Amino acid sequence: MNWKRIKTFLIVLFLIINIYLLSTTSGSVIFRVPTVSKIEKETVQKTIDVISNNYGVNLNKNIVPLKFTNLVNIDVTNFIFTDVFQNSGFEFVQNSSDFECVIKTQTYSYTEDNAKEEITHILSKVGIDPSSYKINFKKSDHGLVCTVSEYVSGYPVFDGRIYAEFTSSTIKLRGNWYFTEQTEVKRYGNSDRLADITSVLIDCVSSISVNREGSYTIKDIGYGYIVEYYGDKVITKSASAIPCYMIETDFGGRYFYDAYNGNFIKQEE
Amino acid sequence: MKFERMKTILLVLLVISSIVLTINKWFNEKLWPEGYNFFSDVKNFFFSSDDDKKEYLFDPVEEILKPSEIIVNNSQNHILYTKSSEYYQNFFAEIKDIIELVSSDYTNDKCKIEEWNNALKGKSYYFSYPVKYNSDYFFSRDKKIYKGDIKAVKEFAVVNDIRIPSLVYVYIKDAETGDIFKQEISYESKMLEIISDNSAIQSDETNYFSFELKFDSEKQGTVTQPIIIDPDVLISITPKTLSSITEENLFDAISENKQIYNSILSEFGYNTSSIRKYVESDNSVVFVENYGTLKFHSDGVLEFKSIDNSKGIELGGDTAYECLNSCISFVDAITEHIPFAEGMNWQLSSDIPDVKSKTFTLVFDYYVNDNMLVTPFELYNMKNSIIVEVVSGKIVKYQQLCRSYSSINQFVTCPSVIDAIDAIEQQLYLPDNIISDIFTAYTYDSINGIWYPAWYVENSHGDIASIVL
Repeated sequence: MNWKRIKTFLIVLFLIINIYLLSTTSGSVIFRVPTVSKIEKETVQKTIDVISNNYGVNLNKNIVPLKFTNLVNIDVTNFIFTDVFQNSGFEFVQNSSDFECVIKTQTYSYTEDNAKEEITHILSKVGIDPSSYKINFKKSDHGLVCTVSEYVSGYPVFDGRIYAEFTSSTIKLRGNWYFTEQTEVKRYGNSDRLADITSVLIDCVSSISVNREGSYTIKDIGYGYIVEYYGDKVITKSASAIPCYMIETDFGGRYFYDAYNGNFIKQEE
Repeated sequence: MKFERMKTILLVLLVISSIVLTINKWFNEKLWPEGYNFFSDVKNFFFSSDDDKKEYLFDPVEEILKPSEIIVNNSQNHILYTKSSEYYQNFFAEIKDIIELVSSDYTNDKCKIEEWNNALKGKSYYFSYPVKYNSDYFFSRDKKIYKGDIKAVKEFAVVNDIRIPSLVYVYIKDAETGDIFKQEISYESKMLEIISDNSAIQSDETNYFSFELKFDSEKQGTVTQPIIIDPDVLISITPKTLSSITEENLFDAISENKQIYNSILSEFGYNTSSIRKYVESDNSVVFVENYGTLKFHSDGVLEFKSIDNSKGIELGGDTAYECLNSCISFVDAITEHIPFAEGMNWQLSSDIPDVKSKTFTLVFDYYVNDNMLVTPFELYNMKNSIIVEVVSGKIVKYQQLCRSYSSINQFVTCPSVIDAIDAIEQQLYLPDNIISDIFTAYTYDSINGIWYPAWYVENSHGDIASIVL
């Protein structure tokens, strides 16, 4: 018996066992791999076929993600309840469901470039870091407008949006924003699986068909966070942002579903 | 050779490491099959803490079934012992044995009220409970169903047989019907005598039962009494000095106190990794899961509500009474996580009726120095300190006042009960004129933020009112 070889084999074997145990024990901080929920391409194709044939809905398979990293709930503080809301030097006003602010400027004519510079400056003054948002401009009947969309660790916070309207010497802001100190958003170790996006899609399309006839196109599927209030939907000082799916149609509807249990949360036009 | 030796050492270390990690994973994730207790027993043997052992010393259900008053009667005096009294536990140990014997023998006879009164006037031991217990619940210590004639118990007395030391008579007043039952049991009462002899030396109180002073009769001679006091209410002619109480809101800055709220969340079965947390503008914290909300109010109230009566916290127990015990244990488990001051305890304030279904409401109140704190309804919208509603074996509503109370170096002397009775007669607080109890309790002074002791009366409907002296 070649004991040396056996020993080498046993060392390798126990090394693998130790690596496995270290990586899978709950709370292990070594070799932490975030939990991911995956979906097969065939399942996506079958879903596309079902919603097309039964509901006349168009969906490009390329916009359906095949992999979602499991996210955790995060605690967020509503901007309205922060000190800077009162003390930034800008006159923010709280409405029933959002805030607004009118800012007088020295700029008479806005382009995308100077508007972006101006809005970035304003947001920095109120503590909103440039790494936490993306800005999209579009022209409207009222002039130049942009949407500032919030992101946490690369995932959109769908409720965190500020609309800015740029007119001669004035910037009007309106929207909601949430601050969080949580930087770790991924779920590690054994955890619940996300609801299948395909089931959620069918559920969504089926619900839309109750009140809407005719064909339409699903133009975007997003995965991120939504801030859900409870009870009478009173805005609270802080709340939980929960992982959700967002389904956007070409007729302007956005539908939000709880990513873990697949329950409908809300609809936006 | 040296290399081979290193390989051997490495192999041994890897084997040990594998074993340790496997055991760690096994215990952390409880991977043994249901009902297989070997590893659990090993762990408890080597690693059990005092907290684990504590659950075997403190039984919340047993606490609920303790009398609020033990009175040792002899022809000269009636000496009162309450839970904080030095010899209370000694007496209680004997009571448990007596009740066991009574519950296993249903032979009893009805007797007249005079015999009961004579027992209380002579050498005897009287035990009074804060609430009325259905006899099935009171006597079913060993889970046998009680088949005797007594419907409910709130008080009973034990009298020695002078001629036969190993024989005692137990008089039980049926709290539903008022009938008095007498039962003879074989019981060595010597220990009771020893305890009472040892403890009597220290007492300087002078007490009488209401019937001895004729306060239980509508007429005293030719005079009609405006107030009638139940015959077994103990009347003290000695003033009572009690310390005042201060309080602390344990939910002050609760949104920052993860240790308290996470531990309580676990007891309610909330998954702390997926729960939704909201902080309201008054700094109350709300946790929401699919079937209910748990709110930590900033004024110190803990409140759970399920979304409907079919959801809620599932209580264990096959029978209705086991479910009730499970509810009491749940309250104890929650209370364990709240850092109450030393010397505080909680007691049942609602009767235990004949519970047929697993639907009932239990209420409890806090006690300091054996005196109840009367919850200020106007501040918290709660009549009692702890309220639990159970529907079909599930807790659908839970409210608990999480404020801690402790004595301060400020004392108030409550005049004797005789003086208190005079005030009752003058002020006539209650709608009916029958007083079922007179006791000291703490009342909250919201101006000074202090709790002061005062006399309270309770009527036959369970309503209580304070007496202004």
